[in-house]
Parts: sequence; structure tokens; C-alpha cells
Amino acid sequence: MSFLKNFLSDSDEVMLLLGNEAIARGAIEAGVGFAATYPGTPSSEVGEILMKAAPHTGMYFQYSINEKVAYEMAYGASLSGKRSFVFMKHVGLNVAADPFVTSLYTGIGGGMVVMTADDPSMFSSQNEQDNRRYGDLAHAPIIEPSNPQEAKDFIKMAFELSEKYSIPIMLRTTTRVSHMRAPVHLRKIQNIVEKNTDIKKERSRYSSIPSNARKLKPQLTHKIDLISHDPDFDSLNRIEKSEGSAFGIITSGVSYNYVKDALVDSGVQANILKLGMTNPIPIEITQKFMNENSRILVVEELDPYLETKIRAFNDNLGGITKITGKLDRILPWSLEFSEGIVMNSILKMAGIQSTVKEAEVRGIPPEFCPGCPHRSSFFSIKRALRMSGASDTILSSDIGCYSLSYYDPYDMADIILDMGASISVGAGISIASGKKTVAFIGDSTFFHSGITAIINAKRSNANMLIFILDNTTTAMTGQEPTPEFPFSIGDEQFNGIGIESILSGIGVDHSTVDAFDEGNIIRETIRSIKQSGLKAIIIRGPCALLPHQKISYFEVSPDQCSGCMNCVDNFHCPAIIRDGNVARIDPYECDGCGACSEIYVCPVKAIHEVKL
Amino acid sequence: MTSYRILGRGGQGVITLGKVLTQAIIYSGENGIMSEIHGLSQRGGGVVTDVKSGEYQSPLIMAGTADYILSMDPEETSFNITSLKDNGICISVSYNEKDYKEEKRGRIEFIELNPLTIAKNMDRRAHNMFLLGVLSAIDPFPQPENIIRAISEIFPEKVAASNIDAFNLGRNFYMNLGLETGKSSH
Repeated sequence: MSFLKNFLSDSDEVMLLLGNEAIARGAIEAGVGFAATYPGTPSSEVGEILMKAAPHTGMYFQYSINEKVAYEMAYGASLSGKRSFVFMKHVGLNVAADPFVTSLYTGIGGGMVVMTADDPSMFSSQNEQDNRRYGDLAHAPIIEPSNPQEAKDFIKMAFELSEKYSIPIMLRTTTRVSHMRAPVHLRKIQNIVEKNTDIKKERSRYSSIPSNARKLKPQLTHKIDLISHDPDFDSLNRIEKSEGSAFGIITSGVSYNYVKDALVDSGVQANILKLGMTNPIPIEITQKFMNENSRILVVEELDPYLETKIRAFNDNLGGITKITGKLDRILPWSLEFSEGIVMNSILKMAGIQSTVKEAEVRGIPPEFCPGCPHRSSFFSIKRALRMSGASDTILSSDIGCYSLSYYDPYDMADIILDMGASISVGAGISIASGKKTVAFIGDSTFFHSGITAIINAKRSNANMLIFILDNTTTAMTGQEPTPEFPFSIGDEQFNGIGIESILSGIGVDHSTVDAFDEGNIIRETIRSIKQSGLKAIIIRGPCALLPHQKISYFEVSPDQCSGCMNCVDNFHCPAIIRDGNVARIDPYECDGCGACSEIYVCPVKAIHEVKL
Repeated sequence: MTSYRILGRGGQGVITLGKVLTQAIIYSGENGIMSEIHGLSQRGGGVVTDVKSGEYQSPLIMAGTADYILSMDPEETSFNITSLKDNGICISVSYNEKDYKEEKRGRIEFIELNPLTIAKNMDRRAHNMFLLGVLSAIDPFPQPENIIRAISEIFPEKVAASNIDAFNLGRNFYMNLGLETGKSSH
């Protein structure tokens, strides 16, 4: 049976599911009628599966242009009475923060849940902000699952909580919860939930003008007070007692898993308060736990978020217990936890000398895939800048696979800040310094937040050359479609929105070149870098991970190869390897793009195509 | 309670190996959990996947406690060797060795195999199942019939048979070496 058929089964089955797949299943079980996202690791697999599953469940699903738009779309769907679900990576909520915060004031129609996936240790992110701070800032209840089963079950409770208090709920995961695979018990799928709301009659609520917002704010904080005492959601939190325990541990999310394993492996006895709701702190169970334990260790990744709240609560109670955690530096503030790190803190609490060592594990850094259009693009642009005497130009880059141009041998990302920043930061530098700058931005990032930046750059008359690296997909997160991608569903026909037409509309001078045509990229770059003003070059070539038939591979003739190693050292394709004094291409690894056979990579033309 | 660290580069089927092993553990009646890595870190870079059987909450392996390493990349093997416990077993692909080499290296058992010379016609995409076959010859858990069931479940129908072949090839190759088997804790 296919995975999707199993996944959509309506019977009581157990399936081995990724945390993100379990979240998608939970949304389906909860009768979600509308879901939207912008893909981002570690949240992307939720969309991957919903895109396939939605047509079978009656759910509307879309990849929105960015997280802010996704949030607002989902909010609109909620106001029209549907249960709506919006999800994104942690930094995605920075983009959606504006509607998120105010939507807590107005409240909602149908239940609304926003999933945000934090990335401690930054496996695929530019920072590791702790998004629980956002929940606290916005006065949004936060629900934190520890494993795939809880992820699925908690999202259903989140919708109930959302509807009971008419506010959006934050479901917060981290990489190791979203990307943990474990057996999950499926439950019955609920029909799509429709609530009748007449939004016209609630202008005083949904229009957050100052006179209304002043009334809405106290209502919001009152709701949070009520939730902190609401017994309906007690099952999110629990106390696990241990005989002869000397202290207590308060924990949540993935940290709970490390605590449990570390207690078993160390033989230390401790009581545990596991919080599934971390905003607001559930008052009764927390106070009970603090009364029962004279010393408490708070174990949480990233910021001392819970610890700060627990310490303040303890102060209010007159200091009934002693709190330990990050604020007294027993646990680190940065990077993800491990069982070893947590075990060390537990042993310290138990007064046992620790011998646990956490070995630093190195890994092979990522690189452009064989057949990747970015490799020939960066190879050619670097050469063109050198030929133009412009190698010292500030190169402002962006978020995507092309961020890998930071590494040797390309060294072509001087600045990487956030989505769309390549253009605005580059324009800022150009105007402030009077120097020409270069910006690199991918197609999906261009749609996400590059368009507003390029309009602003045009209005500012920035002296900048923008490369739009169009690999025809959102490559890094799993090849999701961009707005350039045409599609049809039934009678609905969408022809795609061309990047060229957007640039023409703004009035930005632009040209388009093929990503595997190095000669043309070099010529076009040399010509454009000399011109002043704003200019864009679109470099187009499909991502090598998109489905395609491999029709040939390339090989090096050993007797023609001069051994210059330009292909190995400067072009740097994983399929090309040094073999003694000559280069060799692994026919299995080679994708057949042929960019290495061009004279700029192989000046002696020793690389030839072999048809399959 | 057994822990496995699976290593390789993006695109080598590291996650698929982990999924098959975890599903086979569950079919064999134990709790099975695993960790995955997605996104930028997958692009040709090292991929580390941990699998555990037994009543663990976290799939991540603490340094120096792994029972097995299964590796499709010699470089990743060298980076991760400290994750093995004393007398742990490393089963690694090596394209330099002729067929096979097994030796005690310090505190661990090191098995290197070259699937390119052992089975010239095997699809390289099936090297992951070949390694799983070698593990299955060393450790009777999870049972080979449950691994085959998991392969049939997880792979698309048209490639399931060739992956089962690769699994059997690895398993038979190691068993036919006539060496002592059943070295694990099981």
C-alpha cells in the first residue's frame, strides 16, 4: 500500500511517522479546512505531505509567497469560519510577526494554529532564536510536543483551545521533534470544521484601530489568565514521580526526552514536571510541583524562557523552592542539547562527579550538487569580476542553496542576513559608500521579499548589479513550486508570473542568460558591471534535484588532460576527482550538465560527452 | 536496547536505510525511533541518522555508546568513530579495499567492504541495503524476514525486489565468509 493511502487511513493504525508528518496528520484529524505555508527547514515536510494529501481530504492548501502572506491568508480563512493552519520555520515568524501579534488582539473565527519550528544548533538556518519569546510577546498560548505522537495529539487540543478562547495558538517544535521518526497511533479523521461567523457584525473586534485595540488588549490578558487555570487542558502537562528522588526537574519539548534517557542511564532519581503548555504556565500543577520539591532544575534548550517565569513565580510564592538552570550557568544558552549535556546537569544536582564527555563531531560540509546551475554561475561570475578588475566588489548574498557560494573555492558571499536582504543591504552599501555592489538572490527568495527591495532600490537609484539565480524552484527546502510555476486544477488555470515581467513593470534594465552557458554569463557580467545604475541579470537553469532523465554523462580523456586541475580546484564538482596527475569524472555521480566541458573550465577541451 | 549510527552523504540513501531498520525493529516487536536531517545540511554534505531500539525517548546517540555504525562514506566514518562504544562494530563501505577487510582497531571492531568489487552489477543506490544485509548477518535482530517486509513496505514496488536482492547479497556475502557470527549483545 502506498504511503499516502496509509497516511490517510481512517482506522486505528500505528504508523512510523516523522514529527512533521504527524503534525500534518494531526491537522487532517482535526478537520482543518485551510492550510498555508512558506517552506523552511525544519518545518518543510508538513507542506510536502499536505500538498499531496489535501486534495483527498477537502482541505485547501497553498504555498504562499511568504510567511506574512501565509499567516494573513490563514487568518482570513479562520474569520470565514474554517479551522486554519499556518506553519513556518522559526525565522519565518519574524516575517509573519506583524499579523501574528495583532491577531491575538482581534481573536479569530474558526480555530487557528500557527506552527513554528525552531532550529537549535542551526542545521539549516541563519540563527537559533527561541520562538517561545514570540508567544510570550504576543500573549499567545504555546503548546510544545516532545515527540511525533504528541505532535499529532497536541495539535488537535490546540484547535480546541483556540476555539474556546477565540485566539490563535502557537505550536512550537524544534528540529529534533520535527525530524524525529517514531510510531504514531492514528485516530479518526474529523470532517472539515465549519463555524458560522458573520464578520461584518464584528467590526469592533476585527478592525484593530486604537479605540478598539484599547478594549481588546485587557480582554487578551484576561484570556491568558483564564487559560493558566483551565482544567480542560490539564492533559497537556503531567508530573512523573520517582521514589526517593532528591530534586525536581521542570522541562518541555525535546529536552524532556534527554531528561528521561539521562535519568535512566545515570540511575539518578528525580521527579519531573513535563509541561506541554509553556505559555501561560499552568498555575495549579506548577505550584504543586514547586511545593513538593525543595530544589528544581529547569531543563530547556536555547533561552531561559521557562526558567525566568518559574523564578518569578517562585518569588511570588515567597521562595518556596530553589531554582537552578541557565541563569546560574548550569546549562548552556547556545546550541542544541544532548543527553550528555543534560546528564551532566542532573549529576551536578545529585552531587555526583560527572565523567560524561560530549565529543565534538565534525561533518562533511554541504556543497552544490553535481548538475547544479549555481556552480557554473558562480564560477563564471567570479571569473568575469576578476577579468573586469572588480574582484573586491562587495557581494551581498541571500538565503538559499546559493548561500553555499560562501565556501571555497567560490568565496562569493560577503554578507548573508535574511530573506531578501541581498538587494536592500546591497543598495544601502552602494548609496552610503558610493561604490557599485553586487547582489545574489534566488527565484523563490525574490518572490518572498526581493520584489519590495528591488522597487526600493530602483527608487533609490542604487548602483548595483543584481543576479537573480532562477533554478525554477524553492530548491533547498524540497523543490516546492514558486509563483513562476504554471499549474491547473480542474478549470482553474494559472500561467505563472515571470520574473522578467516583474522587472519590466518596475523598470529595471535586465537580461536573461542560461546557467550552463559560461561564455554568455561572463560576457554579460563584464558588460553590466561597467555600467552604472541598477541592472539585473537573470541566470536560469533547473535545479539538479528536479525530476529529469539523465541522457548522458561526461568523461575526461586522460591523454588529453593537461593536469591543470582547474576543474577539480576551481569548478569544484563532486563528480570530478583527482586521479594521480589527471582529472577523472565519476559517471555515476555526473548529472550530464556539461558545464565542465566548456573551455573556461577545461582549456584543453579534454572533457567529452558520452550518451547513455 | 540497541543503537545504530548511520552515515553517508546526501543522496546515498542514509535516511532510507534508517527507515527500513526502524520499521524492521517495530515489526520485530520492539519500540523503534530515529532522527533525520533535512534541508541545507543534506546538500552533498554529511548525513547522520541515529536509530534506537528499546524504550528510549530520544533517538540521538550519546558519544561513546553506539552499538553499530553503518557507513556509506569513509570520511564520515572517521569523523564519527568516537560515537561507538567499546567493542562496538563499525561496518563501512571502503572503495580502496579489495572486497573485504575485518580487524580490531583499538577498542572497536572495524569491517570494511567494497560493494563495487563484491557485486559489480549492483546498483550503487542499493549499497545501503547491502550494508543492512551485512548487519543482519552479524546480528539476528531485527529478524531478516522483518527487514525484507520493511523493504517491501518502504520502497516503491518496482525497485523493492532489487533492494531485497542487495540486502540478501550483503547478508550472504558476510555469512559465507565462514566467520563467527552473533557478536552482538543480542
